[in-house]
Amino acid sequence: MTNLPAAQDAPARVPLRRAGSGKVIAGVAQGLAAHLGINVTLVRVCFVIAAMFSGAGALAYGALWVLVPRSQGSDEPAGLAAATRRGMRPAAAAPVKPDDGVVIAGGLVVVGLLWLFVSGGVVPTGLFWPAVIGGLGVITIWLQVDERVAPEERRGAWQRLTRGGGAMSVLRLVGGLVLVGLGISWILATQIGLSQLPGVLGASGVLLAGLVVVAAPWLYQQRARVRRADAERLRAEARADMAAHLHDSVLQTLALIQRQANDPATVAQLARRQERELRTWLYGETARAASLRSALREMTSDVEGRFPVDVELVCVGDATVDDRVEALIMATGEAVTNAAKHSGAPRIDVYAEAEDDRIEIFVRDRGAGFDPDAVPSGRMGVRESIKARMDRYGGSATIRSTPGEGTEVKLEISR
Amino acid sequence: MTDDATPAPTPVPLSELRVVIVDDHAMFRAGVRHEIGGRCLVVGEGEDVDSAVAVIVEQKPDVVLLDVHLPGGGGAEVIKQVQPQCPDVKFLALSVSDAAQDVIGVIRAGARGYVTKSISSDELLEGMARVAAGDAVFSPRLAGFVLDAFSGAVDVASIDEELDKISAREREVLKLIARGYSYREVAKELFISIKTVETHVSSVLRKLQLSNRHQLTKWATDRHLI
Repeated sequence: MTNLPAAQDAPARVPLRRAGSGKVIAGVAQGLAAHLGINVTLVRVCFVIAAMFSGAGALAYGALWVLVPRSQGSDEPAGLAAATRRGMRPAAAAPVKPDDGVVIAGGLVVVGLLWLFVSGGVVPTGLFWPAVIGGLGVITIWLQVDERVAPEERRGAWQRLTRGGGAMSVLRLVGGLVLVGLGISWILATQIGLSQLPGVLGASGVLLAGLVVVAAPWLYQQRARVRRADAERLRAEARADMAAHLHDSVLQTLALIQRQANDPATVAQLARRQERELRTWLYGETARAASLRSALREMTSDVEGRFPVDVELVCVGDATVDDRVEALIMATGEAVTNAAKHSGAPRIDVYAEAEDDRIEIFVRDRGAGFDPDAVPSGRMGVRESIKARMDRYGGSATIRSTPGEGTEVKLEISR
Repeated sequence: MTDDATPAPTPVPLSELRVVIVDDHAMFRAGVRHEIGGRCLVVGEGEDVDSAVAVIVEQKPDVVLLDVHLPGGGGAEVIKQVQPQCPDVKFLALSVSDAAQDVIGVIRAGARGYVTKSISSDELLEGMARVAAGDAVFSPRLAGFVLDAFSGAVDVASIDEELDKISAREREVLKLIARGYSYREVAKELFISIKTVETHVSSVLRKLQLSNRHQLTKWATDRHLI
């Protein structure tokens, strides 16, 4: 019944996604760096160097910007996501904005390049400015390709202009078209003669306006349909998730409880187990691959399922599971089982702390306790097995116990 | 021990403790009221940020049992709105949430402690009394969250580098609390007085609540530490 996150092998490679945080422009470099497992700065430098070769780097960046989907951020458990949607959690901090310095430096570089082009005579002056204006128009329209940032209240005028939906997207489209039209007409005008400019401008203006008027209803409908379909799909997915989970776990547990209503101990046990599972599903951290944390959680809920005790697990830091950590987890499991079986305490505290150089786990109960010196050697079986197991892997196990006050087992390995 | 500049508030007997319960589930409010209503004075209930702020400002209770998730911005928002008007009201966060970010968030806003909803009513009453007396209530789980945050393992967006300013002794105290020790047992283990344990815990809480470098500097300057 427990379908809790098991310790699994880490995925070989992070999927290619544009980064959502810590990005400078669109998060392409960060996403690429994470995907390839190399330094971000290196990727950024590569892009800049490639940009020197006829702008290949800039082109590649642009292409990746359009083609690579944005990272959806960390997947939150169902319950937390729901609480966020209903405005029950304070909003997360605003996304990191690119440094002003970076923006200014980029702007200066662009201005310098333009200057170089104009003064160097690479492009005929007659074509240059119209090309720039047309290019701006194209950029304005292509801004739409980037998926919209999640709607937030705290967005500046710029964000609304470049990312906003509704009127803003129409404004963007029309503005972009006008700019492109202006550029093209200008080029035309310089070819035909400046005196023709008003006529050409007017003609293209009318053409554009006509296009917009004709296409507007279709565009509007299309947008509305996409939005509706999106919302419906999300709702359906959420409902399916919820139904599947409720059916698999909660409803089955309730059925079991109804059948065993006259056995309080079993009912309490079932309820506890279900509560823990539901809580993990709703609020738990997403199972990090191969983590000490998820392995311990699985172990504690297993013990809770077998004995009428509460196991309170507190985990600080995390570690990947290798042979030695596996041994540590097994030893912890034995210590917790032992406490559940013999101490008679209603609650067991498990505290695990993974530091850079070692992992410590404490298992504490406030049960009967015993006098370590008075225990006959034959009865030390389980405790010896804990110790022996830890010894084999270069760790240590210390047991402190006082009759009447409970027992604490400390397990430790270095990493 | 450090100076006790702030005078300890006169302890209120449990039976006269005025409590407001804030939770968006009516069933849960009714349950808590039933469990503790006979032993302290429940003077009001709130179900979202607005109603909670209104009832707290009107009643000025000793302690507010505050849910972390609330319509209208969460428990942190309630504290932010109430504190300028009623600085004496103490908040004890009470939640089923296991998400460190939420719990740390409400503590940073100014709650004096955090307990889970599976707590027994005796423990809850004890926690309320302790909070009302100006002390902090650290459950093992909260201690774990805080240690995690200080070690940088939890990615809480609002947490900044002030957090690594926790002292070795404070860390030791938190660690023992996370291991399930009571304050008394922590004191015995470290050969210090319970009062000292409380001081360490309060100081950790204060460090958590200092939200930026500026505030920390001001805090240190005010105490002639720098």
